[in-house]
Amino acid sequence: MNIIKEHIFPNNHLGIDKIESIVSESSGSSIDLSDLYIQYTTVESWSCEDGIVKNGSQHIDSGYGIRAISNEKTGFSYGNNFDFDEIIKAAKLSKSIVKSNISQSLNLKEYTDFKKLYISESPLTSVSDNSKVDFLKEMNRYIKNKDKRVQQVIINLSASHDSVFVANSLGTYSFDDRPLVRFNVMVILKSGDRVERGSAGGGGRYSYVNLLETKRPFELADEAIRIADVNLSSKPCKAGNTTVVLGSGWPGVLLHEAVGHGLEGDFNRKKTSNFSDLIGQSVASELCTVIDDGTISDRRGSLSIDDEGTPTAKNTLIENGVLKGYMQDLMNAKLMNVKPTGNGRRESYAHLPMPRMTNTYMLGGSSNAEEIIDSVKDGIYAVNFSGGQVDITSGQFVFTASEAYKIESGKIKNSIKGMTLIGNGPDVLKKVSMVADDMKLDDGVGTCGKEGQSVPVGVGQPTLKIDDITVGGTEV
Amino acid sequence: MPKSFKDTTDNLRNILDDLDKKREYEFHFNSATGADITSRFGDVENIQYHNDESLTVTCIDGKRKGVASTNNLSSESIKLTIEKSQSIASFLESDKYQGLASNNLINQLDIDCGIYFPKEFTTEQLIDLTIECEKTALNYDKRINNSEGSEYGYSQSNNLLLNSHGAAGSYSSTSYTLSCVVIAEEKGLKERDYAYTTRRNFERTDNAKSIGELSAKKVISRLGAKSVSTRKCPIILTPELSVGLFSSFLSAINGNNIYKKNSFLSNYLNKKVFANHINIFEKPNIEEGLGTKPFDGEGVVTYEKPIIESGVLSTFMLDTYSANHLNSKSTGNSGYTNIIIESSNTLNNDIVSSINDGILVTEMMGSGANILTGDYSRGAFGYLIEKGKITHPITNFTIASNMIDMFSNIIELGSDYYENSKVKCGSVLIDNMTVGGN
Repeated sequence: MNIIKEHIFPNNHLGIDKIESIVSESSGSSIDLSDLYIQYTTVESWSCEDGIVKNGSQHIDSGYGIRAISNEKTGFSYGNNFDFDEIIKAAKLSKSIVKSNISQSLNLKEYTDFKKLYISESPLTSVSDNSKVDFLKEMNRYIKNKDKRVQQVIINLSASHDSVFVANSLGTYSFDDRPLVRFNVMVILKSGDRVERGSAGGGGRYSYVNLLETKRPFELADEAIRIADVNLSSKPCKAGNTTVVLGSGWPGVLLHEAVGHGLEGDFNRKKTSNFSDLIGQSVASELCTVIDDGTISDRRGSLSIDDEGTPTAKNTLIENGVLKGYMQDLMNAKLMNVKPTGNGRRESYAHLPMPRMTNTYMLGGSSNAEEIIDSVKDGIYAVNFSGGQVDITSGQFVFTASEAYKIESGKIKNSIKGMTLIGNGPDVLKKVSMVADDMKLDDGVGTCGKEGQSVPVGVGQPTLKIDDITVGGTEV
Repeated sequence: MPKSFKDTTDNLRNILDDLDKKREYEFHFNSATGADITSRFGDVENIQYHNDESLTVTCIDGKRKGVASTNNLSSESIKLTIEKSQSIASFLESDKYQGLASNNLINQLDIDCGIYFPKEFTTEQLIDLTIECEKTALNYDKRINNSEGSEYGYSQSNNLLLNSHGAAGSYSSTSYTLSCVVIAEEKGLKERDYAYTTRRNFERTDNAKSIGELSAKKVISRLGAKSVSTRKCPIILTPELSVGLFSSFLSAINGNNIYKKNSFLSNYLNKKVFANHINIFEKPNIEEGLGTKPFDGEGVVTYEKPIIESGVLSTFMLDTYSANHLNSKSTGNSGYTNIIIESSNTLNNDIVSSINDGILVTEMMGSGANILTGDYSRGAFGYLIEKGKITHPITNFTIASNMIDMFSNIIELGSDYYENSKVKCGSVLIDNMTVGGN
């Protein structure tokens, strides 16, 4: 059910005629594009700590944002009072960025011809609050019984339902309903003097039922315990340059940081990215083909339409090492004279859209994971990362591993702690020397931050080998 | 206090008074208005007007706590939000440590704590400031050939807290921020850097030209960065980065990390954490302080206190819930206010010249500060120091240690206090860090 269509419009006497007046008011002779975005979001979170399901919260946020674009200028205003006169005032304020007195009179048509990639119903009501609490209790019992060294368990179950409406001066409007579910486990194990943490999580755009009525939460709990256990015997890491093998799945976060951000249209229009003006040129080893795909059903990073009403797409960013294209929103596509790619995203009605990633991954290659490990005489096998960051101008990126091992003579040895990878995006991609055939997407926990805005994303990659990269650690 | 804020305050007090007495409630209301203006290459690029408000209701039913929030302050929506908090509480399990703050509660509305300096602007005035700021940077050096622009942001915020035990407090605040981000290029390699100023009072912000000039100087000095070999050596963190290190310390002594044993400092109360010469204080009432707050996030009155005395940890920072777990009392630290880092080894002259060989670190990247184990490993950018002088910029290296070692290896602090943060400290010289490079 779209709450905007069913409640906000009728309760505030907003018909499509009124919406047309608002978008018309914000458009005009020197305005290239204006749009109205309305959102109603409900988020809930339940958690179990110290063996007690003790935290529960629900947050409702609703409002509208109205934007007017003239060439490279943007005027933006938002509010949460849906009174027609208030929205008209906001439209005038947004348009005041340029002197343009002639308003257009627009007729809007509903755009529905896009593929629905997920259910419309709210996941929050897909199971009862009692069952959510019982589920957390059961998971807590399972983890406590599984390992005697468990010192702390934090389990979190959360979901959101986002009803959105977007209308723009190009003449269309659309509705979308976006469910999102997430489950996370964090355990701390204690053995002797040492304590270490392990976390795992998963989720996607579906109902709670898709998660709660499967074995998945138990597998994720096992995974969290496994990671903490591995880290209990980890040894300090030696600093310096070495060969690094990245595991499949979540380590794709490196691709997201090292390459993805640099391929966002805004940075390339402004030529502040170190991938600017490189379309058609070789930016990576021939083994690398990188895709951004917002069209995968039920995935955390997917959207049926982006936040500007453009259907998402499967976009090839790098093909066999050659840069093919950037990710675009409407404004940057127009300014760069290319087609929008369905990557216009915003955190909420109170934020401006910009080009953002959806699900970004590298396609599999022809090697297999064992032969990649076999080929390394002395190096590191990094399986999980806790976070990363990139400077898109210099290309410099940094990642911290949460699970990594030493490789000696083709064999995986002891686990190592406190390992940081540092490198330069394009440099590192050119050093990819082997790519396995085991491409895997992550479990559905990624959140990407850019200019203070957070959006859910997906990452993925096959096992791959980087020949020479700088590793940080405490040993010399 | 703006009239609409006064009306909301009166309305919420009446609603709280009329609620049932068998459960307990806390209302937290925030509102903010403001704008952000960005100019790039001499012309305005973005104007964003802000207008936010939100109400968070906490309901304690027995020993069960439910939380619900809304940004719609209509009577109907407030009623639904209260009901939701009651409903969530009713599904949760009982937790004997749960409860609202009940001691040392604030009881004063519209408190003047010296952080509210409203000012009327025209949009044009602010556009002119950003253009002047960026222009100064772009004209500084030919190698500065690109820009992400200069941004001016201001906001006026109102904060209200009420609870069933009689807490009632409110205050208003303002903030003004000007920043500039520019890009320089040499031999095909690009670097970016920025400068900014943020203050409670518009009159105290650094002027636009000085921010533009600082961003330009910083980005130019980054050009021509070389790699560095792996080594152990002393490092100097700039005041801005020192703030980050001390923020990790503050997170490690937060009561919620302590009772969960989620901190490497869980067992360090009344023990030595820092080198002897370090003293750290919390001072909540500094005039124009960026962290100044008369009461904390639960309505407990904040107060001045030592946190580190001659290197020894004198208190954890507790809110009501973590205090209940630790059989102690809230220290007014549901959040923290202004933190002052002092040292008897404070150098008034250039800290760089006090070491022979080492590295001045000016930027760190990545999330490599582990609060559980104290392990520290981050990517960095900086400058090589040889014979007490900066020789050239260096990039693509990591710095690593354990925070326990880093804290006790602090040799001295600079007097170059950082004004853009509620944590006030100068540069920090730390001995014996592992630098990972080529």
